[in-house]
Amino acid sequence: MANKKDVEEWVREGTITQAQADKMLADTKVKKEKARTNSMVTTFSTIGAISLGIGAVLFVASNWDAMSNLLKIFILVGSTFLATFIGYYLKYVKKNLPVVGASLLFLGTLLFGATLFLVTQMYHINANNSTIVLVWLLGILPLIYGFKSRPIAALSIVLFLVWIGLVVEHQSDLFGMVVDVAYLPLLYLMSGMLLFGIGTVHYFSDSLKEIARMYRLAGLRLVAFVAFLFTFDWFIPSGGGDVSTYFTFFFLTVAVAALLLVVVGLFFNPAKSKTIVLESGFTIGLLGLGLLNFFFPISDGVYQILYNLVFVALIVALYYVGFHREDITVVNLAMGWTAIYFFARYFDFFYDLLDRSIFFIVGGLIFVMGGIALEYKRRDIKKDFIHHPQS
Amino acid sequence: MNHKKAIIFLAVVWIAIIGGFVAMKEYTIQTGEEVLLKTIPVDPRDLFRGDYVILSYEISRFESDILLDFEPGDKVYVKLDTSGYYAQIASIHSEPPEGLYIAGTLKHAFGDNAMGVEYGIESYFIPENKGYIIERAQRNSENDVAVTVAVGNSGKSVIKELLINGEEVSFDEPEK
Repeated sequence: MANKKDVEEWVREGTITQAQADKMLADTKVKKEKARTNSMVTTFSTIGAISLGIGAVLFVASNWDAMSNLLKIFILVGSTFLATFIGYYLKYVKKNLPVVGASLLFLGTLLFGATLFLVTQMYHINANNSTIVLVWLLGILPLIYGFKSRPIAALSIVLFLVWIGLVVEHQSDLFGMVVDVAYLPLLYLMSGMLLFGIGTVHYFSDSLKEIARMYRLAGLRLVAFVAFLFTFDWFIPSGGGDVSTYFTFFFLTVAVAALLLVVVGLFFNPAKSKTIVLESGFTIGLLGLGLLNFFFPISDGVYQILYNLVFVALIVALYYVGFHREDITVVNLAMGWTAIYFFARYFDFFYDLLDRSIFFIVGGLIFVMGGIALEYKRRDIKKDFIHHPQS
Repeated sequence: MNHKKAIIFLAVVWIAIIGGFVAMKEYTIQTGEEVLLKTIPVDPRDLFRGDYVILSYEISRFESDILLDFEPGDKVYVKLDTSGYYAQIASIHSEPPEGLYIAGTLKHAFGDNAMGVEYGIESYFIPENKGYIIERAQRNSENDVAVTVAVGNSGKSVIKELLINGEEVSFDEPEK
């Protein structure tokens, strides 16, 4: 969409006539209005779909005994298929309400989950069962690949992470290994890299690029979050007993799958991006550190130093990739984590060393100046990216 | 895959998943042998499915020395003796034995030199805020709390009903 200042500049330069400029600005106004309306419709229908989905899950959870199970299943299965097919009809057949249609398709996936919970509740299948979440996840995959739906891809990411947590919780209970739970953040670090790898291989197909980006960003955010936690000593697994064989097997499966996808991404990515070597190298390095931490857990602070170095390297890598690919989301991610990391270390290292009043005054000034600098930088980058949107 | 094919494929997958769940459980309920298991329930909450009672059975715990050849996570097949009022353990096997048996997974149990078995029938879902009915029944030591379970040919089991003193538990009574 044309920028008013640019258009006026082009008229002054004589690149375009005033009539062309007026037409461009009028078109831009209409497009902006349309985009605003679309975004409002998306917001309203997505909130509506999520509310209805949560309502259905809560309805199942209340286990209302005034209604028979048969009637409940009839209502839920009916609603699931009705929402999905009306969504499909509006978005792909009639094509008159595509945004509402997409929201109804999303609602269908939530109702499908609620139906699964109802069926498993009816037959008293054990509580907190990870398999149900996995089945829900597998059940929505056709919608992700058939309709390239981003909200449903986001739901699949949430389900994947919930599934991992439930598997560990159940196995820890089964094997009596409370230590397994202490290793859960490390498993999530590996899972973040697996998600990133899954996203990378989705880039192989042009039609899946949007989904690929979602998976990669979700993986990146998860890795950054866990890596940040590991910059504090108390989150790092440091032994304290053996983990179960099952956890070890599960952990290694996730790590190997992540490694394979990274290697496949490195050698077969058709985009041949300049940053792919950096991304792959970093991922392999972090996988190696995670495995080292898993097999040789020690509590003398070595891993804390290593994870701090890794986190700083991750932020630097995010800035590099963000600038190189002109991707403002990645740059914003880097900036956000820079601020959080700076804040965390500031308290860690200086809180007990300096007089508190000086600490707050100096610290406050640094933050204000840092904030001004970041704001200017961000504005420059944004301006630059408006002219060269990332691919 | 075009959108029409995708929606048809999706419908088939969902029907297969939901129908498969129902069919497997119904098959066990309809064709399985009914056994009565004595239980001691306690009630927590499932995130998605609401209130339930955890069922711990008499056949769920063993002295660990009779399970020397087993490790937590192993499949175990417990042959049932149904000659009494409640089903009891007749023998424990690593392979499916002849006769009526129930399949489970060996689970570590804390304390008392004991091991446990998880049969997949350890949760009984109840209407919201009605757990007090079962709790009240438990407080009276003269009450017998038991579960009727359908056990299929392959040892898979499905809970049919929760009984208090031989009567199916009713959640109709108003809260006191």
